[in-house]
Amino acid sequence: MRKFLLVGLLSFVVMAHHAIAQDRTVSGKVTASEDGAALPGVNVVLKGTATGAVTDSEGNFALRVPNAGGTLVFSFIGLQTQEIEIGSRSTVDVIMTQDAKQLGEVVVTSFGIERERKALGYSVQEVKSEDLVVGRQTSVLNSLQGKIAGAQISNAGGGLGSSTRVVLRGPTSLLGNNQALFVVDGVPINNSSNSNVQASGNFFDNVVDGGNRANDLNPEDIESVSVLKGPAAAALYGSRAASGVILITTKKGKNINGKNEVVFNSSYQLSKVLVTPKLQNRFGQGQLGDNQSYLNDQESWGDPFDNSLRPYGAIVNNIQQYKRYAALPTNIEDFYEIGKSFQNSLSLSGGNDKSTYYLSFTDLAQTGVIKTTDYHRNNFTLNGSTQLANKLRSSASINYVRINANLPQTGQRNHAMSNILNVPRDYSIRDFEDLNNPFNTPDGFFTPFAVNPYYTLAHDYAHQDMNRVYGNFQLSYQPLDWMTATARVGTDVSSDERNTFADIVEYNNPAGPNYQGAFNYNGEYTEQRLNNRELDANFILSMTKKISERFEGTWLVGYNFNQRNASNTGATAPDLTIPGYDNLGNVNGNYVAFGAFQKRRLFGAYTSLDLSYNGYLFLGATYRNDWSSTLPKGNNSFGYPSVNMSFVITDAFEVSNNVLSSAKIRASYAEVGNDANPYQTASIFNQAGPTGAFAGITFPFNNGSVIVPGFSEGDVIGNPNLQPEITKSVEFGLDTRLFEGKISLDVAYYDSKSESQILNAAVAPSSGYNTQVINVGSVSNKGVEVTLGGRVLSLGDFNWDLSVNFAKNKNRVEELNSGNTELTLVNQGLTPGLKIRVGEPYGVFEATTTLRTADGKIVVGNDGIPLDDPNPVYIGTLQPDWTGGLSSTLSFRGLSLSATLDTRQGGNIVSSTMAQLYFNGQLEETAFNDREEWIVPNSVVQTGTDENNQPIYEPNTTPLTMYGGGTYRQYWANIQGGARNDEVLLDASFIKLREIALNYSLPKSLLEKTPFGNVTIGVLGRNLWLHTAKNNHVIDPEANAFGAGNAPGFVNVQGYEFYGIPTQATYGVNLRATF
Amino acid sequence: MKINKIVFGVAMMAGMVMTSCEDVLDINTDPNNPPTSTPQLTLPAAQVGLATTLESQYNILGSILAHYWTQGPTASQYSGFEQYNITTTNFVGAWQAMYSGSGGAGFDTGVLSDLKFVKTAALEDNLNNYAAIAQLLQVYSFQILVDLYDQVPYSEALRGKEGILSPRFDAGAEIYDDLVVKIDEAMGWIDPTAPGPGTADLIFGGNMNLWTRFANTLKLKIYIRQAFARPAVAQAGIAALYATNPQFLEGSQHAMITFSGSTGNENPLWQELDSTTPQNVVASLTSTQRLLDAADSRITVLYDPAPTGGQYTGLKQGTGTTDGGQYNNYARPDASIILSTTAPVILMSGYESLFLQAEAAQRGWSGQSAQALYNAAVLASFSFWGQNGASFIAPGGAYAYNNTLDQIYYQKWLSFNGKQGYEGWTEWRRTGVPALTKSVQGAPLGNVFPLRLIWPTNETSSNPNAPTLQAVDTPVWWDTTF
Repeated sequence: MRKFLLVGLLSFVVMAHHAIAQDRTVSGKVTASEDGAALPGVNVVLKGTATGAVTDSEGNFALRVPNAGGTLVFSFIGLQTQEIEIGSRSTVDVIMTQDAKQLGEVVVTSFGIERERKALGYSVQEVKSEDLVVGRQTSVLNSLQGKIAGAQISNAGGGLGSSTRVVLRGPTSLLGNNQALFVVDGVPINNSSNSNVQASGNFFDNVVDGGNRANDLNPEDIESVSVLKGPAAAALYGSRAASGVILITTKKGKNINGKNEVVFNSSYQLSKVLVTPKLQNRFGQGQLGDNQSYLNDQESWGDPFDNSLRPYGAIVNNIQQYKRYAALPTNIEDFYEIGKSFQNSLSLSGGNDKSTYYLSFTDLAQTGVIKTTDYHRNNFTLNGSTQLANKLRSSASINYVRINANLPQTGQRNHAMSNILNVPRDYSIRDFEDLNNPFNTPDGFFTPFAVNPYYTLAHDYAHQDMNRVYGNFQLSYQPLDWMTATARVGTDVSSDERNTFADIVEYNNPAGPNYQGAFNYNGEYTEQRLNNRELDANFILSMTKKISERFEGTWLVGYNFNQRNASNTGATAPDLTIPGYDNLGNVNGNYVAFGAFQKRRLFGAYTSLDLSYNGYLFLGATYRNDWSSTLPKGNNSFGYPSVNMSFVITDAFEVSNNVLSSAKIRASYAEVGNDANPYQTASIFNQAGPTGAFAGITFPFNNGSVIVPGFSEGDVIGNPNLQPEITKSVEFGLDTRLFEGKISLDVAYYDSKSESQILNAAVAPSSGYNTQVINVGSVSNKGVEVTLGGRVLSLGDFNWDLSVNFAKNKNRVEELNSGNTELTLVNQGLTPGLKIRVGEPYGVFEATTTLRTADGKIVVGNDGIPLDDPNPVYIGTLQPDWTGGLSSTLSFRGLSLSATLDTRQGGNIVSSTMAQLYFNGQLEETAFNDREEWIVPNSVVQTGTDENNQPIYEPNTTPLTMYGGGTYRQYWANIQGGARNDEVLLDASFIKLREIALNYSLPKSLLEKTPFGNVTIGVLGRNLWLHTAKNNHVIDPEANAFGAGNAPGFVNVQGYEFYGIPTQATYGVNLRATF
Repeated sequence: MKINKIVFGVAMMAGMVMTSCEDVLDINTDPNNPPTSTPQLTLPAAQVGLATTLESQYNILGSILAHYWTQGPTASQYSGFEQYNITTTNFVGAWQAMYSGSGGAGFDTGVLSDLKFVKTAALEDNLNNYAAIAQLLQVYSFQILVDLYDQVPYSEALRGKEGILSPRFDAGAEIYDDLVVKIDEAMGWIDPTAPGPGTADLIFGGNMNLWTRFANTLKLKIYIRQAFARPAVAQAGIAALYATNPQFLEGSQHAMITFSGSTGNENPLWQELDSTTPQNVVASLTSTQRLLDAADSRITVLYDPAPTGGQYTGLKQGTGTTDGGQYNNYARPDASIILSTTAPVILMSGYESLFLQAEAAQRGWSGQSAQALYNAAVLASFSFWGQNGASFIAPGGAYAYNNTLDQIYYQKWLSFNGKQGYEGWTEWRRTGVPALTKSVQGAPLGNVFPLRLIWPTNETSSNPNAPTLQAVDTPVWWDTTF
């Protein structure tokens, strides 16, 4: 490594002293074939020498050449290289054209450096602006779905502003967050996501997904997204890049002959719920299988529907209501509204030869499919750059985002999503909407086991008010043609204010049906403030020089400082006094304050050297050293190298032909170190707060006569000798262009292993502690990614472009701490549980299954109901078998039709909705055998034990019945209680039609006499079609109860659906005009 | 050599930053939590933690298995207890609450680890009274764990910071023997004239005389528990104890913690049963029938009558989720005294102390009058519930002394209704009094009664030294099975 650098350094030094005899001057201008615009920055070299020049901003160059003339080589990345004989001319003007059949395309790499694709020894995939906005998604991350091989991009659900999780090439860290790092214009941004704090302290109560901060970006402002999938591509970004990097380049003003460009885009979209569970429509209200339809029950275990006129609900004011006893097949669908979204954006940009600017404003207003939920986002962006003095250039960018939203609640406890599941099949949920109707008040509502969902929606809310400013300032100085020094400072400050209110539910009327069965709910109110502040500074010195005719090199040294502060503070009033009054002062007793502060700093020094030989062999190497505040003093400095190589076979051997236009092979090896989360090096005490299963005691403790504080020893053994984590990765790839560059094929294979992971390893609780922070364990990811695309058909003006991607990642937990084979990710009573287990993919479900005999027969109890296997079984995992996407664009003149399909095959998810619908007798399955008596098929019962104490089984003859003994209600309801919970573990496979859009650009001729430069109108649809696995007719398997996976106290808790907001199909129209 | 200057400059800058960055990086001290504590601050945490775990976890289990309560018909939270389906995932949280806590502000307090800290820190600071209280509560807690689980980590427990991450499990009898030694050691530390914890002691307000009484009673409890399994040890131990002329807790002296009832400071049983999951527990017919037969006036405070019908109707044990009908048809634990926000949690009651003394006397091991102690015990129980038991123990009364151990056992079982439910189940396992019929839902399992808890999965999965799991109907070491 060191030798490598030395060679590079020496080369530059030698270069500076190089001199060649010259005789006369030749000058000229380089322009682009497309629009005749001047091309600055083109390399002009006298062939066979190191003599060269670069065109200026007007495209002009001047070069001293020998009297005899010679050949000039004009080259520029992305354009076809041209060689022109000078002859006796003194002026050589050149028109350059784009290089389609070469691997010449330019991509953005680390620190925003644009490089030729062919020079890269690692995998980078890029998505351009027009592909990003085609579906008019409000989230940049969602618009990448299906378009990047090997990226698992999961939107948490159908709630407004819901978060999106991006994992590249599988999870690398056992307990780290595993999501890609987001970098905007060279500066990392905050991508935190937090669920709301619950007064109850239970993470699964009333979960509110407040979004992840990378989803705040405005898709309209983005020029391109580069996905650096592996550590090799991302090594220079240091610790945080171990999970890959999403590099976002925003739009900038351009010099279009001093002209300004105005772009206006407007889209209006309607959303309709796509998936609702498949329910039975044969049996109505009733409970316990006793067939006497309890009129105040929430379950559907009653009589078969007979369309008779029957009483229903409660008696209020001496009135008993009557209705037909018949199914209302769409009563749940009817609850959902049509969501509306109206998005308008306006941008202004322009520039001259010295300065550019870009200004944009976007307004997004949405209402959700859940009544009373809405989402309002504004994005302001201003960026500009200017050439200060000859050699000094500055640019700055500032962005302001405001989100003002009323978000839906999911998870456990009372909220609309859980309450609508507690309505029998014959009740109209829509009829509950009128809250002035005495049958719809808490007292008059038909059941004490649920609250009217419209009552909850009218009284409760989860409000988010997020303000965020991020941006950067950059100064670059170019003392010599080949040397640039850049200072870039970026900051990202956000303040996210959440107010969550659950109103008191009081039962006042002693005659009401609920008075004795239901208990008053005392309400709660929480004010939460999430503040994040990040500062990131880089100083980079970069030198690019042609060393000889064949050798060219770029050497970069840089220095990075990063500081992140986060706080989560607030207070919650767990018990309210006055109904409807959402204020902390409205507390009965004391409110509970909470506050958590976090601060970390990191210094990094890095260098990279890239050498190219003859335009077909490229070598790159990087080295970075970090100093982190989160590691103990002796261990806080750690360095890691990477090397990569790219070889363009077709250029080297000049074997390019009609079939194989170009081919490149690449290889890389990289290491990336990773520091710890703050505050893991020492043990601590906590404020005491003993809990039971549902609630807890808070300190200071008041026993009625004295108030005493209390602190308890923490349950974690801190580690003063913590070491950094390290991820090592190799990657091989092939990048080809076929059929005159029309088809491209990119294949990558990688093998990465993340070692000495920092984790809280479980220790026996009897040691006095639950976990110990240690460096152990490793996770490996091996996989293949294939991207195949191009123009498959071209007939006159008709073109068909197709792009397919496929990725298979094999993730495996290789090792945990000695003596342990598993770690628990979730054990808060969720069933099945989620674990990490050696030899299995990251995140396996531990389910309770039916007890079976050795030959596979189901063992039932004396009541005929299956017994549980006392030993839980590991079945299912979070990790999919493979993922893929397909994008197609048909275009004919101004007309274009694009579509994107996205699929994930394999992997599992647990559905709480399904469990609840089993319990209530609503799911299709619960009508099994028309609810006539049945015996569990293939079942046996234990009648005793033999002499070896082995069980003796006899065939089971006890049927499940409607009445008494073992009822089939019990058979299904037990699942919700945790029995046979493999029955709610669903195959998470899906195929989704992510986007489809038809756009028409008005012909230029039509617009000539108008002020418009370009007008495009379009219609679009998203998620119009979803195909799920056979055992899943309940939910969209992309759902995730905990947003991007950072429920407080948890990371990476994926794979649970908990009364989530269903995904929606969206239909929209779009208008885009430029002036 | 311009380049070299630049390179040199960058190197210098980097070097300067690196040398000064050590201080700038020294920010990894947790601002949210203190690095250490004091005996004054941690004793209350441990005491409330112990009370919470007993009341909201073991008390519910015990009250169901001792047939004071049964699973209500319209809910299913405790169906597993009625089905005798007690597994490795039950009481995972309680095990942590006893040993380790579960981390973070507002989470379980690790009772034993906190008590260990209090004892260690107190001995260093010459606060011996604190150390004595901490050690006595450790003994109390370990006895409960042995009674529930038989073998538990003891001699190597709570030493994670010394590197013992997988403590061995000790035999119940060995632990019992050492608990007596620990009581003697703690009693030696008690000095009523030295500084005491005062209000930081939520049980006895720093009254060290009461702690001495607690220590003697606890020692008696430990010996009495072995009366069947090791009568010689029990008898000798009790003789030695009485030779010291010991003072025990009197009938009105309860080791208990009170609650103000303000938000977050409510009685943990109320928090568990009433605030979030009502309807789970109703009166067991086993108990209501016996109380009604004896016209025992305590029934009026142990239970609220059924809202429908207004009678003290008990539900047949275990029938709740099969053919129980409606919640409102049954009596349920009293809302103002048992399921009240301000109800106290009793660790050891005065009447328990008297019943222990009565048994020692009845066995002839103490030389005291069994009848007097029995009568005092029954009166103390009535008195705790605000009732007068005088007529019951008077000659001809329903509970008049009949000179049998079984009568003492039976009255003791009655006295644990509503409070100390775990002790009711434990004593039933030891004495077999009263005879209980199996829960309807437990019946399909064959000849099984829960006689212990099963080590929870969080311990066994991370402790290679954990023994092979024992079935739920395996008796604990002192249980000679009747």
